[in-house]
Amino acid sequence: MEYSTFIKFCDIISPKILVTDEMSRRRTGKDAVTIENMRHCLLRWLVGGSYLDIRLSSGISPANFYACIYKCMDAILESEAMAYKFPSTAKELDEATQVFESFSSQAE
Amino acid sequence: MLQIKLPASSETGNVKEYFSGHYQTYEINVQAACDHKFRFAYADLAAPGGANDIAAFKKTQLSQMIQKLSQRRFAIGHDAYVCSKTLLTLFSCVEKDDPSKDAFNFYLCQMRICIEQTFGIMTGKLRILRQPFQIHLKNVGKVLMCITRLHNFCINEGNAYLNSIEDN
Repeated sequence: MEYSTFIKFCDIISPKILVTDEMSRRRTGKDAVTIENMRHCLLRWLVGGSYLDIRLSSGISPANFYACIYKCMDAILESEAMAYKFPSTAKELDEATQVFESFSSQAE
Repeated sequence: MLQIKLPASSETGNVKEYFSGHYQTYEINVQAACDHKFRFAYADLAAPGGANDIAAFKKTQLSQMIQKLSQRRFAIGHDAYVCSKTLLTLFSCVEKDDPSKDAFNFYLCQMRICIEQTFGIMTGKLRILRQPFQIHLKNVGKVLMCITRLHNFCINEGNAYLNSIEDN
């Protein structure tokens, strides 16, 4: 994932996982886990990283690690921008048809 | 098929249902469709690994979506599915001896390989899929949905590898 893509990904899910630092400090006495840190955990875990390594580099507990990644996943699943798009309109179907035709080695 | 760890009896009532006799592992049947840009148009956990493909396919919304396709629009499916007016599958067994049907199979396979490539790109990128899922059974669906959506997002945002394929 390129940097610009990561930033766009952050923008999409940020509103849903945002935690107020002040409220976190009142409840736990510590700052909240940053949004970048949460997404870093999710992406590293999905690309095959072990939670043992990731939680050390992120500085969070195992329980908080899983809480963070599931929170991010919920945000992704709720996001309209990242939803599946099954081609249904005539234009989408025409485009798909033309490209699939070109996959054939003897398409005209 | 999505490989999972042996589910605990507290997670599911029937653990044996998840055992796939073909692959000799515990799995969940995933039904998915992709478009021409290797993006998932649909993906869902359909049934436990012991279920057959056609039974799993009928349980998903994908079968209804394909049935609703307009005239002269077709989806291409694995030969485990039943051929219909909107779903094309390969000719099998003796039928393949006919040269015209064999040619049909050849051209259909050239397009059907798209879904294999889609899964290949996804598992190459998100390598958690290269090993059995070590998570609670109830969260497997959530993780898979998230992975497929992230895969689509990466392609939509421009992936250098895929762009180079299109250029060639």
